[in-house]
Amino acid sequence: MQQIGDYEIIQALGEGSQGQFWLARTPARMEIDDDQVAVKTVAHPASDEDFERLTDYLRRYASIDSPYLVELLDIGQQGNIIYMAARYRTGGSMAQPARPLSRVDVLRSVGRAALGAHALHEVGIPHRSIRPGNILLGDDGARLGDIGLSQLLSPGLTITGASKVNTIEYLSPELIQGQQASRASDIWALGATLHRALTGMAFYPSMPTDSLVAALRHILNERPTLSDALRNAELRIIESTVAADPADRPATGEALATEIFAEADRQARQAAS
Amino acid sequence: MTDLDLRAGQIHRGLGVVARWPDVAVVIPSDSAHDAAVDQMFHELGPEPEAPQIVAAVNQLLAAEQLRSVAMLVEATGGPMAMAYGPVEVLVDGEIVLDGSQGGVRQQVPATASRLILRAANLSKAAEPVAPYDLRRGVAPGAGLTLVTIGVVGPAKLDPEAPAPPAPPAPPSTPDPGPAVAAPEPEGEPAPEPVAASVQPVASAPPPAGADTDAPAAAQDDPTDLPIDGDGHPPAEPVDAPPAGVRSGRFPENGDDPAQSAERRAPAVEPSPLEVPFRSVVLVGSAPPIDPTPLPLAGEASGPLTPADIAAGRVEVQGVLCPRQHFNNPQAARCMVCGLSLLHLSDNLVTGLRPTLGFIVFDDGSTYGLDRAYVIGREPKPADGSPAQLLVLRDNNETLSRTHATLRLDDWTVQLVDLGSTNGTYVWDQVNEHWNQLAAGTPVALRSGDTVALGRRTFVFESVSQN
Repeated sequence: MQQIGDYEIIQALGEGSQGQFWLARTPARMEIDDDQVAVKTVAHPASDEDFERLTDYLRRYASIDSPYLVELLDIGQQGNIIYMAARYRTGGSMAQPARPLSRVDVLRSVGRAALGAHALHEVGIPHRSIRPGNILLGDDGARLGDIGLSQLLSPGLTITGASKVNTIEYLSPELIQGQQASRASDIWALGATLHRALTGMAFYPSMPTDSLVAALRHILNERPTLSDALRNAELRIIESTVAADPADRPATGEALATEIFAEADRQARQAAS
Repeated sequence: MTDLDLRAGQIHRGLGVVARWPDVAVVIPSDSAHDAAVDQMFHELGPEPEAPQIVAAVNQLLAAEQLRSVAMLVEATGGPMAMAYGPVEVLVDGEIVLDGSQGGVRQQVPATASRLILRAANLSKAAEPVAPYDLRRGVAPGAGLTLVTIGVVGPAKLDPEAPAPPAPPAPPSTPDPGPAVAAPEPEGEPAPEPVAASVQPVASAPPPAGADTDAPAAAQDDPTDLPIDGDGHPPAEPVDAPPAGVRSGRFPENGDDPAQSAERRAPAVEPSPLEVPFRSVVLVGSAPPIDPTPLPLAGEASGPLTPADIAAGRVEVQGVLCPRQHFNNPQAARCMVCGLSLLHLSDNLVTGLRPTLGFIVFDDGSTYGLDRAYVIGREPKPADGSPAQLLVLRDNNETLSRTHATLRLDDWTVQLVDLGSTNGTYVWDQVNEHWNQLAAGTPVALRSGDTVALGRRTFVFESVSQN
């Protein structure tokens, strides 16, 4: 039976742009009720100094008591592998939900993720990696998880070599250009996530996929194409998140969440009447 | 999900190609006569081939005699199926279990094996796995691949704040140490835990929700049971293995019962030499930061530069503000943020933190922003006195020098400097279609779209101010 640290691995959950996700048994030392936890492994050699920097950063995250963020449990290192344990969410992710999501569910889930991002921003942490696969679902609603760490492990890195072309549609142009991650770049990613989750359509339908350089040039030179399957209010919200000038986007994740929840409530009322 | 997928992959130096996907690993030692056919095969397989596709493609090349040697592992129920053809060998926990020099052979290896090696038979002792790079997916140059289980049984309880456990006595020697597994081994090994006692085949783990637990069905999904000679039908009866020394042009079908054969030939599971100590830090209940500085709002000044920023070469420069107050290169025609014209503004210089000058995209897709300078190499050290971020680039062929080149930011230009590297730094000249080698120590200003080669690694530079 394979193991990482003192986590006994039950099965693979999937692959992210930085590493692999595993379902593991909760070690006895951990004082939580759950029998199983999600463990992420990242193959990256790290000095003691690197590991401490990472630990300090994740402590900052873990100190936030938010119902909108996946709870981090543990960080560890074994040989060349860094691993992180978080609560296992049974509902899947917005990319692969365990049960189908209604339009109102989608809106509320992204709204909750926007509040999660806001909580991170308020302690100085940009998420850097918001996309449907990182919004995790459970009985208590959606939570934002899997914070981007590549910038900490390799300062200056904006896209990891393992990234698939389909994950770059969530990157704001200024992030691709090499600007520091910000509230505004996470808000762009939230808008792109909402677009994908509501319509299933690509943000850049004519983006070349044979070369990453060509794809990045395309994003820098073109505007996203918003699907006409969007309702008016949804279109307006997503448009606001992808304004070319970061200062023209909603100022905070909280402001964006308010807009999204208002539309979710309106659609829920409409469906009820 | 699969056993192979749970292993870290380390590449052995040497001529050839190593390829890996979640349930297949392939090693093809170089054979200059047919390398082009092998390259073509990997190209046609694309980034995410299915196991049967890979097996079929390899068999096709064998049938066409465009492949003289190949070692392969394919995920199968009960443990990976190992195959060897030609001068290659497969090792399980230090012992050679397959040698393809007498013709194609195959055998199932136990799912509990902790260390699998596929390699060219003539590999020199110097050809050690290249650590710390973990090949998870894709094709890379190399003459062998070591697959090791990720992590092992650690101490049951650990003080979360305590450092790694003290170094216990040296591990017992293994029959064939094989190529050393470099990076994950610390000074002194932990006492091997009685791993074997707790080892269970992965197949016994609870299947994922919705997975088919029906054994016959699972066996049908076993990629090694698919026709490997491309006739479209699995053979009804086991076919005898070809006589020794006869080149069949393809892998033999099951010559004997793989399970029995594995039992007979595979050595007992031994503690993995990769057993390394681990440390865990509990994050639950972390105290809130003393200084929870929120991220600035858009348009708000960001905080002062940190020492790390300064060490990475982030500095203030003179620039112009566009009508919407974005800070820009005074030479640029348009604002890099909002696209407004910057004409006639170049006299109104202001000082500000230099924004990104562009980005570089490496051949493997990793992309770095040029808001800072970089020193690039296999194990870069700070160079030429100017502050820069160290950028570690892996290179299986060691065509990169430890400290190879630097990307220096000078005012608003990006300059490439070769730092006396062994194999040189080159910029592709699009007009004359050849590589221009840089004189060591002489800066060259990069232009948007330039392709740069450092040894065998390449990157493309894209500027932001020329968009």
